[in-house]
Amino acid sequence: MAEDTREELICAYLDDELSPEERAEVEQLLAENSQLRQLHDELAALRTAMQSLGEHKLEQDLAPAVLRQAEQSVLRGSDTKQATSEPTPRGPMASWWERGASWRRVVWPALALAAALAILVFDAGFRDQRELAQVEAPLQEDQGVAGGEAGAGGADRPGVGAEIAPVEPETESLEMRAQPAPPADQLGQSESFAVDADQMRQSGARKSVTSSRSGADGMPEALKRMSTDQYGTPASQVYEVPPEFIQDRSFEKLLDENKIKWVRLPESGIQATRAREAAPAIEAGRSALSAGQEQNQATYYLFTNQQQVDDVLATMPNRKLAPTAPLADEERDSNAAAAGESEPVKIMLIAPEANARPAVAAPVTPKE
Amino acid sequence: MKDDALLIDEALAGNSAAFGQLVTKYQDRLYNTLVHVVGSADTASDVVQDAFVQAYVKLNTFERASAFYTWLYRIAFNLAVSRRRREKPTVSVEHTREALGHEPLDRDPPPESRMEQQERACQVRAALDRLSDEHRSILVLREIEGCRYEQIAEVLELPVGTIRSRLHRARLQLRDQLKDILQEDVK
Repeated sequence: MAEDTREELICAYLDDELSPEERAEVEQLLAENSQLRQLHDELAALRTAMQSLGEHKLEQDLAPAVLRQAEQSVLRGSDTKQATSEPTPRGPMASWWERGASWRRVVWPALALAAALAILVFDAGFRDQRELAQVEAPLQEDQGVAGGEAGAGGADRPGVGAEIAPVEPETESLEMRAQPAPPADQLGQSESFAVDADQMRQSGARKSVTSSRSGADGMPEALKRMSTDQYGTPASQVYEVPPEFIQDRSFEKLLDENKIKWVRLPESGIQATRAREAAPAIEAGRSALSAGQEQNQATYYLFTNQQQVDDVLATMPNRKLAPTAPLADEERDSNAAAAGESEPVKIMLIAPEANARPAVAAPVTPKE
Repeated sequence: MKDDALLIDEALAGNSAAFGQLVTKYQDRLYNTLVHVVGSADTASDVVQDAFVQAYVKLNTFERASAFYTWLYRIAFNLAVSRRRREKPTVSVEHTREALGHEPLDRDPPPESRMEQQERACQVRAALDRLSDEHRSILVLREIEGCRYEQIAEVLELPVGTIRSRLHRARLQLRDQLKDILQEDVK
């Protein structure tokens, strides 16, 4: 019998994978051959060494994240298909999609109509803002204010915002509210920013102008600036938004459509992360990242350059970044129910390189 | 907890929570195995999640010829190997220690041997990491997951005879990497 064959038998003997006849043969070999006995002892020690590695366990239940990611995967016509010839699986997610069909048939056309009306209003108001800005004093540079649309930022007219309403036939439409530059005394070290109208136009977004509900500081009620966030993020760069704003993730989609890079992280970190892991993903164009565990509250961060990403992530060494996923139906319902009681979501906006104002979205509640 | 077949039937009928129960049931077992396959706790966590997502999306293609976990593991294993080939981690003991995060220990070892145990575990992991993907995978399936040859053959989609010879070669490779430690143990 070849040496290799005998040694393989020793392995299989150790694994109790031999027939009775083979086992008897090996036991005979072991009794007669000291080298084979040594091999047996070494392999047994190897097994002990491997089995002493200890047990690794996950820190959280992955079920919610899995179900959300699966839903997103189905919606995106997933990259889980193994071959192009494979028919689209009609697994459990298909029934979820079908259950919403009647709702979508009513709501989406209504939202499309509303968006079209909003665009008409925005266009009219946008022209008004341009005219007004031309006769008003320009923004002071030492306030760190950068106007997006030249003279049209409306920094001297707090409370007036532009609404951007991109519409996609197959998705829920969304209203966005471009923020005027806050007054200098509220800016601190921040830079203000506005959506660049030309960029938005080119990205296919249509605009309308409506008055935004604003608080005493001129900021829209839906977006109140925090004094600071727990990570030491500059005060003027962090905003609170109501939870319902975040629920259906249409805000995230709108950011993606307008090529505004952002990162979403949960309030509490679950696993360790490394900034270098996240940075290449952001750099590679995956602009939407969120942590592995989804919660009702989350902090959104918008970035437009890599240094800002690194700086923020460096302050949060215990955050994990993973692909984002939309909320499952039950979580969406749960969020809606708790919206009145939950803490608002924080969002941080960083001046884009093009001095564009970030568009911030108001929640759009589909009406059935 | 309900039987896997029942949970699968419920999930296929649209009850996503039923699949959630499968996730909860198997995530730790899958994770523990994948940590050793990919050599990184973070990567293993991602692969586990991706594997469950794939399994859920393709649940209607599960023919039930094998156990659900075997089918799931095959999905995860393929993802893990692909991921590992893309990432190509380094193999220093320090890197391994860092990549695997906290070091799980055997139950209540004497305090004076805890450091030795940790160091030994790191050496074993580093040696595993230096093996080829094929050798490491088969060893993990056998020694960590405790699979029989037939189960391994099903996961890796290889004949049992090939499993036997590959496992033998993998063990010899690992033995050579850990000669010093093993000689102490054998004595």
